[in-house]
Amino acid sequence: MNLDTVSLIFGTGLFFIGMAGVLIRKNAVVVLMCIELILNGVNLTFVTFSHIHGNLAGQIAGLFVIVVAAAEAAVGLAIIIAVFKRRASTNINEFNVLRW
Amino acid sequence: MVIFLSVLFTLVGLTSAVFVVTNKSPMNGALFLIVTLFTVAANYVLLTAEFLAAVQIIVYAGAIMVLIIFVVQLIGFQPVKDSILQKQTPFALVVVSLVFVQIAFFTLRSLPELTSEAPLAEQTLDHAASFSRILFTKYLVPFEIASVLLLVAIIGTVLLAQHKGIRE
Repeated sequence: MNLDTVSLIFGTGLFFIGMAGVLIRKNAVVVLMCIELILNGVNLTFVTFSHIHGNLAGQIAGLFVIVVAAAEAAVGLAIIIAVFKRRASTNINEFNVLRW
Repeated sequence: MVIFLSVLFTLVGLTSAVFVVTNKSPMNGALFLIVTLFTVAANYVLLTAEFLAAVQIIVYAGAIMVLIIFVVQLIGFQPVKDSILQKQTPFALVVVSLVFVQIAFFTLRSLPELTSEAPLAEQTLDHAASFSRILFTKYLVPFEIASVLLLVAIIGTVLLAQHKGIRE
């Protein structure tokens, strides 16, 4: 049990807790926060393998993941607000116009 | 000492991540998410990724969380009629745990060979300098593409936020 193993466990745990949250929650904002959890888990795994191999490429990948996460959060929250203006709800089960 | 701190941050981070998923109010969930982001940043420091830890705190715990909390406050607390969880929750949890068992099994089996490679030359001495040297030489094209992505995200957000952006 060394630092790398603990960090890998942390990253994997974050990924699966976020994955469960995306699948089971109804509130769209909470689903977006769970996506952030998933991205953080992946990022931590990238940085851990960067530390294991002494190679900075993993940290560069982590930086790009953070950039994409920022863009995704901004657009996702804008979509949630635009939908909320029309439907007055954040329950993703009610966003079903494009379903069938 | 380092391992003790890492285990501590892992326990705190995973616990608050569980609270993000299980908490009824999105506001409390957002506050727990900030705790998780800070523990991840602390783990970055332990893994000698100081620059990424700073970026994590500034961009994630600063910018993104302010945005999320702003939206939560703007929308307000939506009282839920029955349950905050979907009705296929047990099935989803079974699927998640199956995938977890599978990944944990293969990771643990290959962990010795994953971690046995000897580290390359010591790069921690001048961390930010070597990080940016690689970022602006070898990874220059992805860096430029990331800037285009941010521009697209800005334009898309402005369009979505306009009143006439969504057609009736």
